[in-house]
Amino acid sequence: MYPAAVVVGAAEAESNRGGSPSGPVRERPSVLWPPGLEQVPSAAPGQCLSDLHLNDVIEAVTSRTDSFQRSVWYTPCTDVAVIDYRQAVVAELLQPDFRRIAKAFVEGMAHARQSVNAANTLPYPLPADLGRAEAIARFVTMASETTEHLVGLDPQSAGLREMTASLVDYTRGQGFRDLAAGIADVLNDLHGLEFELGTQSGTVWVGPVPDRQRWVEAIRTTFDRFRTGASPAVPKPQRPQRYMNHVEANILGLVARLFPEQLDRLRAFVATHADFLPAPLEDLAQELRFYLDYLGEADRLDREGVRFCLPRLQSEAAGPVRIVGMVDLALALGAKATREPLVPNDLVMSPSERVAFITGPNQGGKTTYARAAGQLAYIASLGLPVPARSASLPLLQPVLSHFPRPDDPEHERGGLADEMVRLQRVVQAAGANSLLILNELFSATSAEDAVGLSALILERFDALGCRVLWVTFLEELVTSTPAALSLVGQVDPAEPTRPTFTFRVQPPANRSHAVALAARHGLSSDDLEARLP
Amino acid sequence: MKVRLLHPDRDAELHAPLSDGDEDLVADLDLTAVLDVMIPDRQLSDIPRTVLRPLTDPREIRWRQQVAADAIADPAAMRGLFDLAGRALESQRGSWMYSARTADSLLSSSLFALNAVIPSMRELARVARRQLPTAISPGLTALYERLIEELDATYLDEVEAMLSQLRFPGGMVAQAVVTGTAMVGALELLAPRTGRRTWRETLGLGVQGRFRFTIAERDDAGARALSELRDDALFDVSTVLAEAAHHVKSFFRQLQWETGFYVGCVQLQQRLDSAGVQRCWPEPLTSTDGILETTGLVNMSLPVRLGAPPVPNDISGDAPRLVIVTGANQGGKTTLLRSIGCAQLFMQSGLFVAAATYRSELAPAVHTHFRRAEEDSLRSGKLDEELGRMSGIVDRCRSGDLVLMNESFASTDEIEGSYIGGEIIDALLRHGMRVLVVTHFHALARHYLDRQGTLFLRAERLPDGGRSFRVLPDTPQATSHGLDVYAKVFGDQQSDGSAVGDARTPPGEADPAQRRRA
Repeated sequence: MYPAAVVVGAAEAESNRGGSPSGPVRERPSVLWPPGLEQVPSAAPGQCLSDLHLNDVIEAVTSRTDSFQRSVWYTPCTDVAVIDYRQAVVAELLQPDFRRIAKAFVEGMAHARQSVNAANTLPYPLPADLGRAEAIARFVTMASETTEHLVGLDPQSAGLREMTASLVDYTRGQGFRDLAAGIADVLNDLHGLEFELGTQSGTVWVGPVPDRQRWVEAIRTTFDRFRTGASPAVPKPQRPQRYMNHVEANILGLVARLFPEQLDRLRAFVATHADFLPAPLEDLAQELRFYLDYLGEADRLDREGVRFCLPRLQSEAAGPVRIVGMVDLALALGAKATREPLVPNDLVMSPSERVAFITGPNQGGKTTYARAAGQLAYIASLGLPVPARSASLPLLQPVLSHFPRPDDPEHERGGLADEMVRLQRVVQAAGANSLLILNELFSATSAEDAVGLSALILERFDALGCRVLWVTFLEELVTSTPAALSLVGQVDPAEPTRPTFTFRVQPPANRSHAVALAARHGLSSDDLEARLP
Repeated sequence: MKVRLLHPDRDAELHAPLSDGDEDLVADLDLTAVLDVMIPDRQLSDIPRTVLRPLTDPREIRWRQQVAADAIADPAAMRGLFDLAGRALESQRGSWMYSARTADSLLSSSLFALNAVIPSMRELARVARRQLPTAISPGLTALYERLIEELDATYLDEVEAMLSQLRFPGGMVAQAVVTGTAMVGALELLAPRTGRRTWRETLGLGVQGRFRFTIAERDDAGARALSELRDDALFDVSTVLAEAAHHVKSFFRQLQWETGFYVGCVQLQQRLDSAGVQRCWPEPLTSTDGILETTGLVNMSLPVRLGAPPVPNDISGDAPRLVIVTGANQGGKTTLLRSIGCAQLFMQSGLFVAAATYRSELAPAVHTHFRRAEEDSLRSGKLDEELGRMSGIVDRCRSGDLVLMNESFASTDEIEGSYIGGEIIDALLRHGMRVLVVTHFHALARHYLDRQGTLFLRAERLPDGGRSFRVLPDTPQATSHGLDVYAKVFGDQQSDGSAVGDARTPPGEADPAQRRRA
């Protein structure tokens, strides 16, 4: 799945290796931020996220209520060292062993937190205590296993090494060892105690197990003769969603009367260990979830044929861009209802090429192409793998966009003026490291006008030294800017009305014709030979 | 419980969705009227579509032929089974009033359904005992024997007793354990105690060490919670009962479907007999040489609709893989093609064929590519449509399949149409398909003149220009466009086809439409 780039990531991890499992651990260890480079996470989404459909990507890979995950997505890294730190973690999480452990840890922490919260809101004291006890038991098992496995795997990334060290410190402590031994005793006494439960109309009784056979098998045997050859799909009834209520609590109360000693011991133990979840571990789990949720989606897409790689990022903003086989991630995730096919494309820009124009037939994937590039630069700046076969690019940051907006009647300004104001904001936010994605600029005015305006804007970008991807139908603009790269959407040579959604470096081009009817139906002699069994 | 009247070793598929090409097959072979006669009940109008799914195993074909012969010999017995299945299914109606969403409701629904159907099962066993002596076919005999054995009275008594215990007259008792979920779990239903119970037990009282509570009368939430607990305990049992009820219902559906097929077969047989049409049990061949021999073959749809026997045809040849039919318009070419397609499907459904004799090799499938008469849309659009359908056939075609082409690619001119058609026919033959072609393209027919394994047939034209509707072996005859033109220009009456008496001598059989085109 991650060909050459994995090697790159791993090699970088090697050179960036930080602490060792026994080395210093920060009070709040982190797999996202290396020591000294912590950034304040942004609560608000960046300007380009909606235009580039990154909002849809974020929607797909994070939970709506998880503000922490979102804040990480909203905070592109400004230092290549942070990206290296993260890529090294990702490179290890791409290995099945690490992934499995990380997943178990993240899910275990979340589950423990949920169980404690649920128990705390329960109005029935006995069931609540049982719930707490179970949460403790699961947490103890999970923490020990995670630690043991991580130590065994001996992670090399600085991030996972720090995490391992902090887990080792925690699980070796006396507090954890007492917790583990105590909970095991309490639950062993209780689990598996058997009893009779009977009901008749509104009465429920609990008693010692009576001497009677289980019945299902006998019934199954009797009715087995009705079996027909083909078993139809029988609608299963819903499993009753039993939840804690006064009837269940009452039954448990009866059970407690049947087995009083065991339940008293449980109550006492849980009361002394009310606050057992360590905060630094909860934070680590949250951070790991940022990687895992994205990698999970990436794996799913990989099975559908979408390739991902860890991009190689240069700190030099003017460096070359070389992206092979990139796709629009929102499209790949199916986040947008569209019939556009998912076609991988390349983007190669030499250091001297700052501006790339994208032209081609309507509905031919121009915007998708530009979006894919913008997404890729943004996702790369988060230290995550990108949807491309390989990618090498500078750290382009911030990624900015300008897309046409439908006329907003609430605005007094006309279309062009409104556009100009928004464009000005983009230019202001841009710097030498920026990537600008421009889509059909100045469509509200005449073509001649638009060419002139565009030339003026181009001068500004030139002065800034930023990178620009510019979708336009103004072929004249492209031909009059020879220093820029010209990318053209291709069409099927056999049928010029059908775009192939691929892009090539070439001067803006027109179309040609030719059709063979039978061949189109796959009925030529050669086709028939291949198609018939 | 198994029916096994349509296949010796499996159930027939009920209400199979139409496959690609099925609608073309029905329309092209003019099967609608025939299939309509075979409908045993309006609710089951898709049973006759079984003939669209040809069998390829002679053993299975024989299996059905024998059951069909039994049905024809004793129509009332087959009809009786069909009606009994219908009544059994009718008795299941009331079970719909349960939601079946919860285990408790599903259990009630299943108890209702099983109780209601048991009388039908008893009757079925009686019918089987009565009819077993007259059945000859292995299919019906085995069915009757199974029913007698599986539905014996003692067993059905036992089932009824169990159904009444499952209403829990003495309360529902389960075994449970303390689990990690803070709720009692692993509920397992316990069997009712055999033997008499004391009155204290009946009331759930007095057993040593029992603790109990009763939910207040107006405590709706409590009652709900309790019923969920019951649902949990009943989950497995309710599923077992629901499966049993489903199996019984699907058995009767299967019985209704499979007997319905033969009821329809009898209906068609009676219609054909009253129209005076000859029928025979065809002989399926497993060789792959292209053998197709028949005498007295007619197209069933004509007598079914008109009530009179049409003109029969004979075909015999040296195992032709390709049959090309040419000749007069309105001369019975299409009818011949249809009668072959229909006979092939009926043979491979295990039914009789409207012919004196019919022997043919088994085809995994029959495909039809007929010219669509109507919709005089743009020429290119029409050819596009024809090519699209042909492409669909290519997708579905397997070796041994029978492909019937009727004036294919007539929406383009002769040169192009013959070229495209020839390429396709050649490819089909190379890949082991059998092809029957009706065409007025001489160029296409000529392409195969010297080809081994080709049988040429020609619709007969009587000396007076009338049609006999018979199709006879004969090589294609060139139409005489050039000669016609020559004749018109030079005034030579001898070459005008209408003036020539002997239909075997060229030219003259060109159809009027073609002349116009020329």
